[in-house]
Amino acid sequence: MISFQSVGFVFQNGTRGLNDVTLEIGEGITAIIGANGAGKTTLIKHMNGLLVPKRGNVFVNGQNTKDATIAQLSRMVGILFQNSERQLFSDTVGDEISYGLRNFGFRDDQVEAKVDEVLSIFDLSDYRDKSPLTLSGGEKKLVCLAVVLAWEPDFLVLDEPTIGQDRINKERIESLVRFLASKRKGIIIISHDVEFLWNLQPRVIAMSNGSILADGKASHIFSNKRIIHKTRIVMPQLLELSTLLETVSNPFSSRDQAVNYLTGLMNKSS
Amino acid sequence: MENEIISFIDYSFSYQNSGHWALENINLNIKRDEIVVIVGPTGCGKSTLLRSINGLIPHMFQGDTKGSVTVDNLRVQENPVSEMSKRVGLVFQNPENQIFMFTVERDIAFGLENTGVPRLEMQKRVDDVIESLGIGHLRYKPPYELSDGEKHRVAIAGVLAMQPDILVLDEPTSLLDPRSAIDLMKTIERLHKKFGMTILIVEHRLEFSAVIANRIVVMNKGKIVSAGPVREILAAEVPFRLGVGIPPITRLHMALKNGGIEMGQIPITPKEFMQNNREKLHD
Amino acid sequence: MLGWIREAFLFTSSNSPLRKLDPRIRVLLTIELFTLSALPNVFVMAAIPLAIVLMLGLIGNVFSKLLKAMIFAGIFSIIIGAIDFYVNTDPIRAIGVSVRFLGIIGSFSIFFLTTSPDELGSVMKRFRFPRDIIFAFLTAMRFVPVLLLDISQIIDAQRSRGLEIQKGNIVGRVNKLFPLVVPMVSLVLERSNHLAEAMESRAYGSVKQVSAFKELRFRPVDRIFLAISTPLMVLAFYFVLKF
Repeated sequence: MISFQSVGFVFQNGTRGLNDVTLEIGEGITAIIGANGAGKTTLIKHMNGLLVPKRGNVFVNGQNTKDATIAQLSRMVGILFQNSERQLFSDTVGDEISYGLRNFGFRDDQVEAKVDEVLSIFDLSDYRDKSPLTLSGGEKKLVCLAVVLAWEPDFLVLDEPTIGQDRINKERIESLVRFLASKRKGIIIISHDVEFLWNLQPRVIAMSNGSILADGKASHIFSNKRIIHKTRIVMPQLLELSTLLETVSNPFSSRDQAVNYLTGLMNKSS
Repeated sequence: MENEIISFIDYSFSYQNSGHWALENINLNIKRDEIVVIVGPTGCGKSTLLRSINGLIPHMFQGDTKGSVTVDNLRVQENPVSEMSKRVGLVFQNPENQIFMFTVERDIAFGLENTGVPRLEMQKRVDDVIESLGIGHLRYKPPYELSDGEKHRVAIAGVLAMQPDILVLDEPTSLLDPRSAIDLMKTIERLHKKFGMTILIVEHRLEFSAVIANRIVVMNKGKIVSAGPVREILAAEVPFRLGVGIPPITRLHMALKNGGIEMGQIPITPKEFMQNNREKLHD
Repeated sequence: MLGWIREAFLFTSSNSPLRKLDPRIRVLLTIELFTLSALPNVFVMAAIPLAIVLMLGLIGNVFSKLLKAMIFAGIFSIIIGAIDFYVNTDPIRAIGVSVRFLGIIGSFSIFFLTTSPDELGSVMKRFRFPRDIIFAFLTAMRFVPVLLLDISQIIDAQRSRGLEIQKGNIVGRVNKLFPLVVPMVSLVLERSNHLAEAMESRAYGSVKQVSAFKELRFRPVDRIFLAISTPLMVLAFYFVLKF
């Protein structure tokens, strides 16, 4: 459980980062949406101690982030930032994954086992001895995900994971997220890729100017015009269609039913 | 054909020491005033294609070339990039790495200084371009005070000041939020109308670019796989299988069609869907 | 601390009367103040240039930032003064050393706070520096804030993988730098490649005779300023050198 209690944060140069944020995030998929500067990245940096609140407290699995090191918190909350491919530096993919594991105190034999395990989950076993710097953008992204998941944190936080990814890679990321959710992990995704988020049907937290604007089901948040405007996103297409259908003879009894039906129909085409 | 402004004839290119063809047997004609979107999975050669249009390939990137690329009646292989840059404006993905100067107006003038344009003409062009892109309020600002969307506009302005007939954009919306992406596409459309420019856009996010485009070209593994009117191509099997991000509404349309239901024209937005199937919906 | 350095020396697009002056005048001013600060033997005299610097800061609308530079420099100036006192055991002289140091830092700070790097580039051009050198210098300055951001992102990413910079012995600590240095280097290389492509695509280096968007020209306000400040400066130099 990640818990924010009346958290306030101000940057060194005086700009407001977070404004009285209170929320709890547990297992399952949670999406965070908001315009640039709304505080999304500031929020997730509080989850592993990279930032600590000026006001209020953040608790990760009961541990106050002010009393723990970033390494200790990262063990529980694995964060993959935007441009995560930039952190790759090792000679081989295997080494890259071992790096984090060793930092967290895993023994050599454990490290080997974990590397094998995570590579096979991602279908990257053939890449074990390849240099990470020679991989394509999409492959690098997968390696970065493997790096974080190797130490099996309770939470996985993804900051804009789908930028620059083609559809096939997006689907891989999507199935990974579902897999982790089925294992009762908490997955937090910052994204403005509404179609990607819509497929996951997450809990959605909308932010603006450092505050929480709204918090609820995807279908509610994404059909709220005011929230859409403030977070600078667009409505997912099938949801938009459902709302438009309501203006004509509508065979569906509820919007949810409409969306589910249309989504099922669409997926039949593949 | 006089109407063609870009012409690839049996063009192939292999980067030095790469051992394979990044582009293979490309035959492509782009007409004046067209807006064309180029899609394909990562590694399909889109970026190589773009750089072959303004001369970065083969002049800056060495390699083996076959066939020819002709832009505005100039053979790219025989003309330096500086000559091509007067006809082709190439805007790269990350605007941060394209803004060199400390004020916006100075950066826009960069290309003009480089080509020795006289000062009065330079100042006039800078003023014009600033007005066309609506960035007058940013004129004296340094790049680190600009938002991402503003940086994109400044990068486009810098290229536009050289008055090219062709504007080429490499994944212009990948770093932008949806609203900013829509705004940018609208700006590009406005420029297209105002200056009669030919526009090429490489994109993953078709929901935004397909709306303004005339044609789509689909690439895979260095080859052109299909090309044609936007809606036709989006509704086809091949792009979907290759991993091109087809708008969900288009997929829905295809699903309904495959299910035997007669549908109107192929839509790319929900509003189009409603409009195209007006009568059916009223039943 | 990095934030302070940024604040104290970074040019921002604010309104400052000093900006109306031709940048060459500002260069002259800085050199004058710098020499004035470096020369005096008695600290009372050293206070004069410092006072001028602070006054200019007020006029130039950059006082608060200048003050931050002064405070930052103040720490060093105290250290320098202390060392001088240790060597020469003359407290008055030591204070003089400190004040002079402050004056020097202040004169540079005023310049950088009111002069955009583009203007500095124009001045360099007037003094016939080669274009490539000017461009390299300006680009380096332009990307310093960007690179600072890059390195902080890389540090964040590696700390999120358990990197603990404070722990460990010397050898261990050097090894720890690897995950920071390698990504940084490849990032810088990547940016350089992108920059080269963008420069090439805008015809950099294609003609020998490039034109200039803005030309430096002396205006009445510059002449007036020179007319007023030169005799004052001469007077100041006279006093300083006399004592």
